[in-house]
Amino acid sequence: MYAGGPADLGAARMQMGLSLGWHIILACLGVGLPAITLITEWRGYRTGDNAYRLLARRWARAMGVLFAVGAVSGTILSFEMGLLWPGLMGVYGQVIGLPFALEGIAFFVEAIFLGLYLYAWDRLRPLPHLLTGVPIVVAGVASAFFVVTANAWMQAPTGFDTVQGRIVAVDPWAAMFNPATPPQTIHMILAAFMVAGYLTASVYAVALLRGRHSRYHRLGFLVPFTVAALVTPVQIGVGDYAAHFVAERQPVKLAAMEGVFETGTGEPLHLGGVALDGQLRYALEIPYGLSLLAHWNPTSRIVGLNETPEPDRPPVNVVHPAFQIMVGSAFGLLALGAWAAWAWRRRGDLPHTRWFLRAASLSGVVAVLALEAGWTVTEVGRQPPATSPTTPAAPGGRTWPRRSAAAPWAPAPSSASSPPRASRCCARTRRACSPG
Amino acid sequence: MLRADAPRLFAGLTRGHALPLLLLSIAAGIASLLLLARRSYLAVRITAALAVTGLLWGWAVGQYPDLLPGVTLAQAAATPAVLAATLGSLAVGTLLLVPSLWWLYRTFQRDQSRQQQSPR
Repeated sequence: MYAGGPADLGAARMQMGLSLGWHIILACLGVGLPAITLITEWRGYRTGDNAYRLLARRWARAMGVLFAVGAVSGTILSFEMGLLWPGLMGVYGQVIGLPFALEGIAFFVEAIFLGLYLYAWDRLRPLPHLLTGVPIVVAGVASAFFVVTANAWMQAPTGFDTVQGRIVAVDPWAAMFNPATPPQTIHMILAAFMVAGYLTASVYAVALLRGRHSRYHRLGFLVPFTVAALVTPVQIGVGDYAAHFVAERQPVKLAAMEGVFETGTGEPLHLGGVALDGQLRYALEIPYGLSLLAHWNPTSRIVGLNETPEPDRPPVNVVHPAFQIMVGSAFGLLALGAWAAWAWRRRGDLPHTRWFLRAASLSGVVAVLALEAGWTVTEVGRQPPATSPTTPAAPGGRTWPRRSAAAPWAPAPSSASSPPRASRCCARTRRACSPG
Repeated sequence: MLRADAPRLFAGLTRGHALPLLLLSIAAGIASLLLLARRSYLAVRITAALAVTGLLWGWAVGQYPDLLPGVTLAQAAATPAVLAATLGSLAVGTLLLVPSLWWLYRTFQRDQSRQQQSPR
């Protein structure tokens, strides 16, 4: 049992990437849409406005369908974990199994209350019915949290100890609350609300563009757009927090995100550009920008990719543009929200120009683009890559032969040869500062 | 078929500790058919569930201590800390799930009668 070569690895990554890239959109709608629906139902309950109620009922039906499709694509993923990455799961499965078990519980809570919420509109009084929606929101957010902790663990593997190639002293809670968990989970959950909000709003923006100016369509645009537009500035702040985490713990990933090849102080921020022959070309440079953003200090030191052996470097021409697409999309959406807020303050109405609706009808696509780009940065830029072509699938085999699994953020690549020790101290020390 | 292809499982099921569970499953299955014929739909749920769980547990007990041929349950198990965390979470999860499920069923069973009285 031996993973074939780079081609097999590429195929496995492609399959996993496609499955995840599809599931992540459904998951975002599953996390974000219930909250938006509940807000709408609550408004309908308070104001007695029938348009709110109609919208909530329609979205609830969409939630049911999306939940079912998401359950299927999620099940496919759970099988792929074992079938595509048996080496990783065989050795480290028990370290990251706990969040998946917890996610299972959250999934069933979600399913039960979705059943109540969907089919009990006429069987419960309005307020109890509204309350049956609350567990859907809580369980959806919890599901996202649990699943993302497993990804965070791959960025910052903690909670275990390696003795002669065998995993011992597993602490599943320390693995779950690893150092990467807080920035990644918050960033992902907020992203889910943005994607759900902008996608739903863009449907009604198209309807408004086509001249359907009923109150139903107006509210269908306003509620999800407001939710997403309020989350956007918060998300940009959280993104900054996540980027600082990467700068501190995963400097190689940061170098790939920003296209930095040579280590230096007072590094500029690169906008655009293509990596050719070991340097970034045709990029617009903002002097001292990167050092300032990464460490709040214009002369801080940024580690370049040249300090990492070439085969271990993340591909700059994937990670760098993906990161720029994500950040650019976020600022575009921020500007759209600011435009709406400015018009609302001045006239108590949305901007009258059709260009606003045109932009708003694209916001859903842009939000999904930012989501996929951000996820690409996280995974393609990940240090270390979870498996390599030489991964033996035998039990007890090391799954990260080329690079330290335990200290991917260690600046010197030479420290990669001693993962056990690093993992032990990390597991103990980081645990104290993680929330939980 | 089972006897020819998986003699060890067959032996475990028919001679070992699994026999009572297997008999329970068969008895529950027959009882389910009889209850269905008598149209007692509430009781049949219990016997049908027993038939399935009896078979599953019988299977597990029948091949104990093997999980798969060549791999014992003890070899495949995670470390005690992981088992404790997972089973503990499962117990807490059950405390959440069972009342929720009960509420779900109660809502839909009860309301069919109430809806006829006061259509809204």
